[in-house]
Amino acid sequence: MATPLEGIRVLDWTFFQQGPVAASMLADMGADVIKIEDPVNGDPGRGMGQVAGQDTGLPGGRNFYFENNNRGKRSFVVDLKKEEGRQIFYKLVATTDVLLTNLRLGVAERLGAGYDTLVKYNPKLIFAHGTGYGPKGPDANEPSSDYAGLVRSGFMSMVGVTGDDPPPFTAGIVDQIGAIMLAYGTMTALLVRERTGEGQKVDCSLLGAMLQLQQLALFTHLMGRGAPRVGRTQARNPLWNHYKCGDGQWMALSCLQPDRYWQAFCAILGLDDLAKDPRMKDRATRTEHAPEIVARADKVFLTKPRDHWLQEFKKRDVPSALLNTLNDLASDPQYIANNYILDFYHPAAEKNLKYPGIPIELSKTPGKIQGPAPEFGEHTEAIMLELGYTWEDIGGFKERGVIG
Amino acid sequence: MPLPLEGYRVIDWTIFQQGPVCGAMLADMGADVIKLEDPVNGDPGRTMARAQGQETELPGGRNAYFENNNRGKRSLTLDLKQKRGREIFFKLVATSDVVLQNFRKGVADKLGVGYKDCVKYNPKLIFANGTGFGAAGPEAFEPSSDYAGMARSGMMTLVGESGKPPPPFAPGFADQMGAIMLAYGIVMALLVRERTGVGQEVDGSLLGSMTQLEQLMIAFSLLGRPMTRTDRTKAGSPLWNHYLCSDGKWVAISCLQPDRYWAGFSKAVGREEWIGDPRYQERMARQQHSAELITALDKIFPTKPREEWLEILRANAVVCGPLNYLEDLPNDPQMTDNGFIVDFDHAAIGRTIKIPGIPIQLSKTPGKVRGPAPEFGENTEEILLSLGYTWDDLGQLREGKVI
Repeated sequence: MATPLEGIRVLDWTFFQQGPVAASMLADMGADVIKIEDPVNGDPGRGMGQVAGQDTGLPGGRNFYFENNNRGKRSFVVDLKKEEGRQIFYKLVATTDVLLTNLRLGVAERLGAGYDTLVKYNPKLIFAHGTGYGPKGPDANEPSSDYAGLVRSGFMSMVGVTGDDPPPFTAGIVDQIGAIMLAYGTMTALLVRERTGEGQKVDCSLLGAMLQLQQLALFTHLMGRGAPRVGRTQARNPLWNHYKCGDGQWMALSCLQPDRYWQAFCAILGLDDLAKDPRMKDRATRTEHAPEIVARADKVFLTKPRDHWLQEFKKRDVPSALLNTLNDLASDPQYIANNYILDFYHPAAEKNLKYPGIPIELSKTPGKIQGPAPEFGEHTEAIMLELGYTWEDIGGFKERGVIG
Repeated sequence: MPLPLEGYRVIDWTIFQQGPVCGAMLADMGADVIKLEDPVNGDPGRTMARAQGQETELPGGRNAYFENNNRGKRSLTLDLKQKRGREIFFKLVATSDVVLQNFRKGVADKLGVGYKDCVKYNPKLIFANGTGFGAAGPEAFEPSSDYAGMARSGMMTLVGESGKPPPPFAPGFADQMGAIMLAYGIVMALLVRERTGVGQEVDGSLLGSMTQLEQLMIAFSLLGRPMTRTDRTKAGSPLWNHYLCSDGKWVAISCLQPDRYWAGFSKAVGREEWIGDPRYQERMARQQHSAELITALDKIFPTKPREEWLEILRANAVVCGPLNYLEDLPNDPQMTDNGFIVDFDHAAIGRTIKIPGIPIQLSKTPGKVRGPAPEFGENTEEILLSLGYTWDDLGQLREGKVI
């Protein structure tokens, strides 16, 4: 069977992360994704030398910020500031299903490539726009970033103990969810077009995307039912908490119905006195004494390695979980069995690299990683030939700096 | 124009959050989502007394956890353990486009309502499974939860300082993410079906979904370059950091290209002498002196309230913004102007309430919040009548506790 989006073409006029990842998700699902880049600068993500203090250089002159965000695409270099470049672009638009961009609001219009212009060349076009703050509101035109989305959405204030300073985050979560929701919106628009023949504009912003991620917490808050977050030593339910084990590794207990598992918990940890203690008989009374229970459990967990505890809890069917670091994922059999992390042969590295896989499994039309990120302008010529230009034309355009 | 998924029917046989939110997302986009519940217990989310310390009780006997996760659905109660219940179920399957479920792997098959059973009644059916740990692997059959998804995916180690214990999180992110990716998979499967006529099974899990959320960080880590987290006082770039203002509010400076903004920033904070200072000339030099710059800035920012700083910084073209808390969001015009938080008239709660809106805007076929969560079994009768059952049948089925 084909991949889900086989035969669908996406013009990916994006840079940095939010836009590029949305398009690479569509590439994973089989779309022909053509990355449009400026001949002089290209996507600045290509030159991103450092991310969060880490050097991004890879063997073969690659850069893994760009590499991850652009896997499976073709690169087409054209100068949209030149009239000839715009004409080529319009020709490409006429052959495409989706134009995806994360330029600031108004930039595409200034370059003669806004939605209203492009639908003249392709009335059924889907124009998917990723922004920071949404198409309306006082800050609609402001530049944004992963960090800006993190602070503006309130997400930063939802981690750690209430009242403490907002904690540091690893980079990239907000751009990632911005990409995911933009891909979701694009998919929805493709479905509508398939059913009705209508193309349209899709807008998704970092703020909007975070809204979906935070939905339950935000709703609870809007209903006036928000509660402060406490540290793990103060957890209200000791069976919904994480513990450090003897080998320095962490594990979590995740019992939504703690009464059902209380006796097993005490038996495993050898807390026989607590098992009989009338103060601990049900969830409500235990909540009052939770810090005492957590303190006792903390001591016991430290006496044995994590594997021991995980086996014990599993034997008695108590919901528990590994608390992984990212370094653990590549050796977690659950990740490997589901292809969430897989081996991908990278031609520039000339070997298999471990890659994040595809998170959704379709039984008949699964997605797959279509290829590495393209070299700058790697596919310009092939795509020009597809559009009907001759080698002579191509030579001329190159000389005039229209394509690269 | 219609809503994007108008005309599609989804049987939402789900519990708690991951499955229900997925169904609610499809309802937001216009699908007719029928929440199928067991006549005795229903979705345990209905009686979720507390979500991690948060009181969930709402006016009108509603519950915030259930209400959010089930907005815009209809409720049908049906006992799938009875043969007559399954007959009704299959009749419904024949009229549906999607069956969505998040029971443990194997439960649907054991009841005789798995994909293989359903597809006999509807060969083009899309059958979507939301699991914790994926369809394969040693723990495919294990129970899971939001917390397990957070812990197992590594997410808890991506926040806070490296080396410190994993911090507490507000609940619900992994389940929410699981719902989002499952909805993405379903819409994709619907698109495939429109193009090829083929229905199929869709599997989404908490782990897989979190992998998509963490993709960039995972990719780095897999290549042996894990990103580290440091305290804000040790941030590598003072122009990519947050500062506490005199009114106790935080402002975040987020300049990806700090060299471009250094002069404007120095002017804004009243330190024009920094502009020509060779120690701060460019990014790498500044990085070496970042700690001393942040120490200085931590004394400068507490001299003015945030609003004033935002104005001054923006006047100097510095990329910046407020660091919001959840309680700030309803008052942030960016949230309301874009419909990310909307007013909603809830009959049972009995007043105009503010709720999270729709995160994605489609220009011709936008989604919308279509209704509150249904009462338990609220729509059982109308749905059965639409399947051709008579009032007599309904009486009998009710007596037999099938519905």
